[in-house]
Amino acid sequence: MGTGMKKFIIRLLIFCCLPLPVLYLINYMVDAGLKKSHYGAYAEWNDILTGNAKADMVIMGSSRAWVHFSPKILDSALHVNSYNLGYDGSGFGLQFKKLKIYLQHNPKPKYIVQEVGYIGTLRTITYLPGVQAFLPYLDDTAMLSVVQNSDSKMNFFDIHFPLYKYNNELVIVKEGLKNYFGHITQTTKYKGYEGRNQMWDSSFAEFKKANPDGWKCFIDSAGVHLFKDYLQFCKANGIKVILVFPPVYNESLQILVNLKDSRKYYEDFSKEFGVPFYNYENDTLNKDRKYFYNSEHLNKLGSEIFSREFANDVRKEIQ
Amino acid sequence: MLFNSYQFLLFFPVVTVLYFLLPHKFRWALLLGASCYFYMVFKPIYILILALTIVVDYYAGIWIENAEGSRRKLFLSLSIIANVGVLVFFKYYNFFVGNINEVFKLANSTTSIPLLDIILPIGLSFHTFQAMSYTIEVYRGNQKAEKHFGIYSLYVMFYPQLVAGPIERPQNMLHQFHEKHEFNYDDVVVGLRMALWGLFKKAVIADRLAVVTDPIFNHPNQYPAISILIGVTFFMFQIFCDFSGYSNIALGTARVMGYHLMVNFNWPYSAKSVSEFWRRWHISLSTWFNDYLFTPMSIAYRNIGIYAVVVASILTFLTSGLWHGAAWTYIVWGGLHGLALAYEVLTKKWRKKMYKKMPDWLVSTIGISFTCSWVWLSYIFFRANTLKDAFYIVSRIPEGIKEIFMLPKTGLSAIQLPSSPSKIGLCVLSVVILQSVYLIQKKQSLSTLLDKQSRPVRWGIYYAFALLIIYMGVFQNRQFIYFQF
Repeated sequence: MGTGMKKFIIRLLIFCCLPLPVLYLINYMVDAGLKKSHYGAYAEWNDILTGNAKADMVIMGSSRAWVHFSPKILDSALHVNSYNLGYDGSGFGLQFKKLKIYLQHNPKPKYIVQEVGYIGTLRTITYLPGVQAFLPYLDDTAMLSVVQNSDSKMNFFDIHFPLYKYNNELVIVKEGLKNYFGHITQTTKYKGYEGRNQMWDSSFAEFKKANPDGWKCFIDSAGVHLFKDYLQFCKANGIKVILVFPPVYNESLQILVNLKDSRKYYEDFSKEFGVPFYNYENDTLNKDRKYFYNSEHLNKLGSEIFSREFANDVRKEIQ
Repeated sequence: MLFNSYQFLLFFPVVTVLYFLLPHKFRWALLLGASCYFYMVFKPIYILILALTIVVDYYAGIWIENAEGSRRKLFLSLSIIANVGVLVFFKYYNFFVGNINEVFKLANSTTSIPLLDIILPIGLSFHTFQAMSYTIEVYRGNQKAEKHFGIYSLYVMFYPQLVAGPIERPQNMLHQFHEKHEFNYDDVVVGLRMALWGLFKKAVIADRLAVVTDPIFNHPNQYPAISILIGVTFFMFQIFCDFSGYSNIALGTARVMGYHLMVNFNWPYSAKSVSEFWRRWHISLSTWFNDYLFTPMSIAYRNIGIYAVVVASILTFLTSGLWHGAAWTYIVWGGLHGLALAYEVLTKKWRKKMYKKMPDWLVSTIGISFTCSWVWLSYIFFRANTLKDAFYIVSRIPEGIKEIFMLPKTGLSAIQLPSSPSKIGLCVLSVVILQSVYLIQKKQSLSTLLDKQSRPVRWGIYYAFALLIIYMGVFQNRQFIYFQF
């Protein structure tokens, strides 16, 4: 190796290494800040991972759990301590992983209210919504494993190069730094729940237009097996599962081609595992758009009425 | 292998260090092996196509040199038929057959020629054109036939320019492969600077803009007219940054090893005429067409006077359109450029007279505005998925212009783009950075300007660009647009 090449390599190494301490420091500050933040999904993840989400009753499911079950109402009606672990946009696989992470850091709950639906519950979905929430926790094996087993798989640089995982996430970086320096973002949620003060939007009209022959929910055998494993897991751990199909705007169910077949799965699970199944397919709320902001989601008004109704119905399951 | 991939991040330094560590006599083999690997990462089997044309052209070159009279032409024809044949089969067979089948349909015939399930080998148009320039130059006596098979193979396969150019000439490249390149600190620094700037253009600007332009061009009927105009404008910068970014990386990586490739871009959107645009855009292709098609055609038709240039311009650009892609959209795109050149040739005297009465700044403004508008319009055809989409977009231009004038009343909410306002802001900012660099280097070359700065300032600039690439770059393993050609 000539002297020119040696000189160049030394300078290149200095050039590359010089900013690293600063970048690692900023990376540490952003991670630490986000671990304190209550911004977006960081609120629940931070509660879960610090053991502050301990509850007798855990609500699990997708966004239809997240925006439908108010822990405030359930707590006061049932005299329990509940926490909503609803995960927006998630398939069931992800919900189960979230529960396992929850159980690593929190005592096991007595009850799980499991929201079930006809879109993502019995179907294998590898998409990881809200991957940003995992970024400060890539040093946690369980959290990293969730990311690595999804479509958002991280590479070597994402994990080890400082701040690279926050590529194009300026808002998140800003949020982390803000929280690190003590300006803690407060959450608008209450124990994971967030009622939406929204009016009926146009998404269902667009959906109907795009699916003139109705729509079909996807169910795959791997999805069914996983759900059975989950029910078995809860049974083995002495956790009582309550399956709930929350309200859906009735026109949406009318155009669901395989509604009966889908429902049968839950009825069968209920019998096989001895778990109650509360089905609100025919609830009176379903007829009125004023309780929904789209066909699948109740707004704040609707969810509060539903939470009271559900608390009343489920009382007999609570000892 | 993509320049903007993690693989290349490892490949490039390993190959470069090995290159300088190896004795000169083995370097061609290292570069050839590395180039084969680089190409085979895309689709290994297609290396055989390259091998076939390399063998044909290698022997054709030697035979042309040794032959006399009509046999020279025969060997040249053999080489051209082999290269064009491969190109026609892989790139144009389905296009031509599809069109013939359409004609059959129109004639109510039930005849239909079957289409083939073939994938276009990456960069095929580039390396076949480079290979053809070799045999043509040997035929013209401008280049001696290369006797070293490995060096000739490397001329076609040199990895920095293998899949998207610049389309080199043998006179510029072959002797460089024979020369011994010592490690040169200045070359390495200049090369890395070029590559850094190219990667910035690709990852930070082009791929960011693609997030907006792709949905608009894929579903133009879902957007307001004003959004479509913005989409086309963004595409104008996207394609420039994508392709010139690739060329910068190609030139830079070659320069690190001491190789000088031809400059492919020279700020084309500052051109004052369409002909000047083509002297600044994809220069290696423009000069290829100029040397091997336009000039011979102009000479052949010289008996019709100025119209020889007009006919040659139109035919050359129609061919250039077809070179870019086997679709009518590209042919129309080429045709539009051919028409603009024909107009410029026919009105040259009149325009010169008119411009004499105007101040220089006005002449420049008119020239740049006309050129950019025409290029902008032509890009609609270049990028649209179908001719129908392209005409639909063109039909919405008047509506879009009207909506621009209505903006003070309607506000920015009238613009619906497939990305968040903050991301659109970043798109605009990235274009502003690009134009700022252009304005700075107009007075002085960036390299000279950087050399004049103290090390902390220089390193500060390098850090700024490197960090922008790392933290603001869009890395989705997105191919360079010109790879498909």
